[in-house]
Amino acid sequence: MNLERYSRQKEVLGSEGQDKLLNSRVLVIGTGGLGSSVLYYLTASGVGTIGIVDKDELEISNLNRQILHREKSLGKDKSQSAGRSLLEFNSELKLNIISEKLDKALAESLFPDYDIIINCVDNYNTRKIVSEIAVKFNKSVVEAGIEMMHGFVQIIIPGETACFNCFNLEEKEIKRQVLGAAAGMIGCMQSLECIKILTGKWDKSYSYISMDFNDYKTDRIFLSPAYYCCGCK
Amino acid sequence: MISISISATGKIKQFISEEKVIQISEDRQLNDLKLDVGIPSNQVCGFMVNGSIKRGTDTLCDGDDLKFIMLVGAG
Repeated sequence: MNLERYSRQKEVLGSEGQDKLLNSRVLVIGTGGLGSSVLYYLTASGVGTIGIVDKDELEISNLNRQILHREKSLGKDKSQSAGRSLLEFNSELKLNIISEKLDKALAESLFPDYDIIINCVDNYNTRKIVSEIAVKFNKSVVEAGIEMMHGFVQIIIPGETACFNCFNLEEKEIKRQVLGAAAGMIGCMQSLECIKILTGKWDKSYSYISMDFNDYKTDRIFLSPAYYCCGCK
Repeated sequence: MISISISATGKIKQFISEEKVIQISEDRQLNDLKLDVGIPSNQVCGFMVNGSIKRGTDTLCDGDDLKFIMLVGAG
């Protein structure tokens, strides 16, 4: 392994932090607008093993934001397309490609093998499944969403912070309108939070960040588990 | 009637320019307050009262501090 590749982040992470990343196993669910930047930056940082879950095929309307994919992959499996791009970028990456739709059974079979889950999906139902199964197996999650010019990132540490199901949400129709740059920024924030958690640098002062891309107003709050949430409380 | 102070995170700031005090009836659920402050009914959000997450069916007490937690859904 050529560690010179990571020499420009050595003073940020320290050799111990870099070793932790190289030995980490991260599962990324979704290879869309969020997943594209998450996967690129986690691969760039030196995360040793990455699992990718995505069943969708690439559509032309994906390409305003899903920079991991190429036109030649239109109509083809997105998880395979993402895997090719990542291995071209970093051939030392250990990659597990799962071209399936995530449901509870798949989550239960996959989550125990990873250190952390990065959720980059586009619907509330899958977010609820990821949160429930991650809490069950005591796995941290970096959750996120983006719509129009607003995005959020939520850090879920079972027993310490609120899980997604603490919000007790009803399923609502999602407005799937987003600029690629905004999705990319939220994905970058997910990557950073993932790296901080893996290297012990998350300072526990916040677990939810929202950003308004119109004026870059940002809010940070710490969310404790809800008193009624039987999963994480 | 009870008074509550409302602050907001993220997207709500386009609906509420600053913290404000509104008057509501005691049995008004948090879900209904979205409409009171001008948040579209289809906008998904969580509720934080005095630092704790609450259900949308919960109600408020006098002097409670409510934050709306925006949860946008695309990826």
